[in-house]
Amino acid sequence: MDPQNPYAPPVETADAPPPMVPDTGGLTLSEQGWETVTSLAKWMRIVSTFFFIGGALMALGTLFALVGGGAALSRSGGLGATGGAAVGVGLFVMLATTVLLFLGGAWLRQSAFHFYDGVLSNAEHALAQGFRKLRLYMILYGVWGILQLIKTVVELFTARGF
Amino acid sequence: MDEARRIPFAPEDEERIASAGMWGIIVAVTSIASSVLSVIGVVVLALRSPLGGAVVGAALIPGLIGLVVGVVLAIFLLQASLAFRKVALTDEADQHYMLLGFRKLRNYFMMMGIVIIVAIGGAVLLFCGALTCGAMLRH
Repeated sequence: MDPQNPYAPPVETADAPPPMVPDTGGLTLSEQGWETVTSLAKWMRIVSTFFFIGGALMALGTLFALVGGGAALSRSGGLGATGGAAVGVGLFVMLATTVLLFLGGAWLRQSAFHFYDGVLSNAEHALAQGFRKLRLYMILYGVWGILQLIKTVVELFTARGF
Repeated sequence: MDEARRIPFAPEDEERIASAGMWGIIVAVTSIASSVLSVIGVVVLALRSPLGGAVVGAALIPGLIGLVVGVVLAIFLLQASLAFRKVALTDEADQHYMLLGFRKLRNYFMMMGIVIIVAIGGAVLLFCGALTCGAMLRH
C-alpha cells in the first residue's frame, strides 16, 4: 500500500494468495465422462431414428388400412355396427401408435441434443432442457406401459380364463 | 476431475429431473411386470393345450428370451432413474450421480438399439426364408 495515499488499492505481490473465486458448480468431465455422454447422445439418436422409421411405416399402414379397408367395405356393403366399431378402434390404435412413435422419437432426439450441448458448453440450463425432454419421453412411455400392463392383466384374466 | 461437484440447477429444473426419474422408474417397473405376466400367460396357455409339454417348451423359449431382455433393459433404466433422482434430491456429488445416470441410460439405449437391429435382421431373414420356401414349393 502506498504510504502517501491510504485509499490506494493494495498492490499484488508474488506471494499473495490467489483471489477467492466462488465455486459456481458446473461440469468438469473426465475423458471417460465425455465418451459416455457422446455415446449416450449417439445411441439416443439411433433409437430415435428407428422410432421415426417405425412411425412412418405405421402411418403408411394406417393409410393403407383406411383406403383399402374403405374400398373393401364399400364393395361388401359394410360390416354393421359392431364390425364398424372394431375397425374404428383398430384404426385409432394404429394412429395413436404412429403419434407415439413420432413424438417419442422427436423428444428423444431433442433430449440427446440438449445433453450433448449442455456438457459441451458447460451450461446447466441446456442439461435441464435435456432432462425436460427426457421426462416427456418417459411420461409418454410410462402411460403406454401402464396401458400395456392393464391390457396384459385383462387378457390373462379373460381370454386365458384365470 | 472433481466428480463430487454440485451442479447448480434451478429448483424447478430439479423438480423436473426428479419427475423424469420417477417416470423412468414407472416405465421400468411396468415393463418388468408386463414381461413376467406375458410369460405366465404363455405358460398357462401352453399347459392347457392338448399337446402339453412340447408346446410349453416351444412357447417358453421366445418368451424367456423376451423376459430376460426386458428385465435387463428395465434394470438399466431403473439404475439411471435412481441416479437422476439423487441428482435432484440430494445436494452432494451431483456430477457423480449424473454421470452414473448417463452411463446407465447409455447402456439402456444401446441395448434397445441392438435389440431393434437384431429384431429387424431376424424379420428380414424370416421374410427371405418365407419367400424362398414359397418359390421352392411352387416349383
